[in-house]
Amino acid sequence: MTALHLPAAFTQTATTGKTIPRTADGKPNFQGIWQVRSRASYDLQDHVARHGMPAGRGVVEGNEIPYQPWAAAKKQENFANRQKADPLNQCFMPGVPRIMYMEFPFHIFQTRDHIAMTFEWSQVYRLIYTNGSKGPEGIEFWMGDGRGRWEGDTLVVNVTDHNSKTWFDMAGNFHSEALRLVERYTMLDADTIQYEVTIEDPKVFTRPWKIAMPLHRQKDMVRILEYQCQAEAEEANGDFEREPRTWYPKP
Amino acid sequence: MNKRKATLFYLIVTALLLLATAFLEAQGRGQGQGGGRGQAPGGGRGQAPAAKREPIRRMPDGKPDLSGFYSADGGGANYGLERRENRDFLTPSTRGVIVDPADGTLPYQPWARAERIDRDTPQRGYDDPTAHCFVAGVPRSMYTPSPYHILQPPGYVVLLFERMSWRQIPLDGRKHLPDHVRLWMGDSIGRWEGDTLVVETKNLNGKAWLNEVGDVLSHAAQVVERFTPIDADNITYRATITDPVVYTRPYTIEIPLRRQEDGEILEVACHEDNGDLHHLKDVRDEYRAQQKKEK
Amino acid sequence: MVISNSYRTGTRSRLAACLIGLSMGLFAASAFAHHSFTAEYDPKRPVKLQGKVTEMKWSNPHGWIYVDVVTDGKVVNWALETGGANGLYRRGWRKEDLPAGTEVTFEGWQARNGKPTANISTITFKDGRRLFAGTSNNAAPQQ
Repeated sequence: MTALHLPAAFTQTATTGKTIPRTADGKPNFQGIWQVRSRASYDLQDHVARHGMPAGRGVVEGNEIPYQPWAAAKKQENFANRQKADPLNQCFMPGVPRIMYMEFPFHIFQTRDHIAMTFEWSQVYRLIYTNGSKGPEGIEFWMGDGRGRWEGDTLVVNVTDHNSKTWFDMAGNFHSEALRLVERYTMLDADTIQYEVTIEDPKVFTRPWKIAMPLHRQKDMVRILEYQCQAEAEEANGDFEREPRTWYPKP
Repeated sequence: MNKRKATLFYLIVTALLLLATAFLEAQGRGQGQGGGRGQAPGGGRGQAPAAKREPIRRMPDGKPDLSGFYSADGGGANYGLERRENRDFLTPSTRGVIVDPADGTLPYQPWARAERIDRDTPQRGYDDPTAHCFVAGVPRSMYTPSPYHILQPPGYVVLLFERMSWRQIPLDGRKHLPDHVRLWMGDSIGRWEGDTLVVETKNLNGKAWLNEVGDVLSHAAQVVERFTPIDADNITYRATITDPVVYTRPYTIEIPLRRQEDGEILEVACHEDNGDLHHLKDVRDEYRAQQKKEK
Repeated sequence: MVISNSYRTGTRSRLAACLIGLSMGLFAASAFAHHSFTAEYDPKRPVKLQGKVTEMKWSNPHGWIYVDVVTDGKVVNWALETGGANGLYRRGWRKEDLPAGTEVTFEGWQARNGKPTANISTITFKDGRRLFAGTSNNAAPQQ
C-alpha cells in the first residue's frame, strides 16, 4: 500500500502549472499533515503585537469585517473581556473556521466519499462528506456540518449547522447560529493548499466577507501528537489528580 | 435439616433461581429498551444478527474494507470487563467480555484488585477521566457506548469517535514513537495478517481507566487489537492487554462491532456541556472532609 | 450463588439478595454514561414525581430536562439527567417535542446530596408516550 508521502500520481494543476499529487480517481490529493503560518488565530485582521500576542497581517479581504452596528459593539466588548470570554480559554471546541488556522498541525485523510481532518488540538476532527449525502436537520454542532464537492480541482465545502458559541479568533470576532461558510481548497503545488472561506451571517454582518490563507505541508512530522487542552489545564490546576501507580513516571 | 438434605435443597433452589433469572432477563430485555417512536435493535447476546449476510467488502488491493459507521456491542464493557449482574438500578449488568482467561476474570495483582474495588465507590467517581470528558484511551474508546466511523484512506485506518476523539493507524511498518513520548491514545501501528487488521499500541500514558468501575491500566500497558471482518457488516474485535504493573498475565477481550449502512456520526460536546463534574467533586470532597473528622 | 455450610442466617439473606437482584434485572437502567451514576445518585432514593417542563438541554452524553414540581404548595425546579440528545435524535425525537409547559411524569433516583436532581429511567407524557430517557443507546438506528 502506498505510504502517505508517495502519492499515486503527479500532474499539473491548471491554476499554477505546478505539479500536484493526485488520488487514484484523479482528484487533487490533500492527504498529509498541514499547518498555517499565518497569525490569524490571534486576530483575523492586521494587528500589532501585544503582551502574549505576536503581530500579524490580516487574512480578511479588504481588512474589514462588515459588522452590523450592534455587532461591532459586541465585538469590542468581546475584545475587552477576551481573557474570560474567549471560549477557547475554557478549552471549548474552536469551531470552523478557527480550528483550521490554530497553531497546531492537523492531518488530512482522503477517500472517495470523505475528507477527514484530525487535529492535534484536543483530538477534535472534521468529517466532510463528499458523497452527496445531506446532513442531519435541527441540530447545531460546535464544529458545524461539512458537505463537499469538487469543482474542477477545487474542493468546495458548505459548512452549516453551527452553534453561536465559537469565536473566529482571540480578538473576539464572533458569529451567530445563522453562520454559513463556503470553504475552497485549491492545491497551488504539492506542499501548499490555498484555503479560502466566504463567511455569511445575516444576523451579525451586513454582507458576506472572505478570508484566505495558505496551508503548508509539514514535512518534518510523521504524525501529529496530542494537545489535550482540558486534561492539561486540570492537571496544572489540581482539578485532576493522577493515580500514582499508573501514570507515566518521570525519569 | 441434615447436611445432605440441605445441599439438595440449595441445589434445587439454585436451579430454580437460575431458570427464573433467565426467564425474567429475557422479559426485561424486551421491556427495557422501548419508548419514543423507535426501538433499539434486538441482537443476541454478543452474536451477529442471523439476517442475510453479505460477503466481506474488499478494497481494490483485495484487503478487507472495514470502512463505515459502527457501534460496538460492548455488553456493558464500559461498566465492567468482568461479568456482573445488576448491582443496583443505576449500574447496568455486564455480559463479561473477557475470553482469555477462560473463567472471564481479570488476572489482577492484589494491589490492583484492591485499587479497582476502591475506584468503584462514590467518592472515586470524580477520578474517572471520562467524567472530566478526557479521552477514553485504548481500548476503552472502542466500547464506550457511542458510535464511530472507520475510514480506510491510502496507507491508514482512521477511527473517528462520536465522543470527540480519533485514532490514526498507519500501515507503513514504521517504528513506534520513543518510549518517553506518551499519549492518552497511545501510538498505534497496524498491519494485515490475512483478513485480520492487527494493531499494536504502545506509548500509552497510563492515565485512562478501562471503564467506569475503574478497571486498571498503567503506563506499562501495551495493547494488541485484532479486527477480523466476518461479513460485510460485522467485525469481531479482540484486544489483548499486557500490563505487568497491574496484571499477572496478559488477557484478551472480545466485542462484536456492527456496521450500519448510511449511519452518520453526530457530535458529542462532552466538556462543553459537562453538568455533572461538580456534583462528583462534591461527593469526593464531602467524603474527604468526613475522613478528616474521623481522624 | 455460593453454597456454604453456614446456611442458617447466611442463607436467608443470600436468598433475599438473589430475589431482589432478579427484580432489579427487569428494570435495568442501562444508562450510557461517561461517569459512574452511582457516584452521584443514590439507588436507595427512588423518586416518582410529576410536573411541567421548563427547559430541555439537548446535550451529550447526557441531556437535562428541567421540571417544575409542586410539593406542599411550593414549586421546586428539578434537574433530571437523561440519556444523550444524539440517542433521542436517532429515535426520532426532536427539540420541539418537549416544549416548556409540557406535563410529564418521571421516575428515577435522587442525587446523593439530597438536592432536587435525579437520574431518570423514564419520563412519560400525559398521552402515555415515553421519552426514552435514561436507557438510550446513542448508536441505535432510527425507525
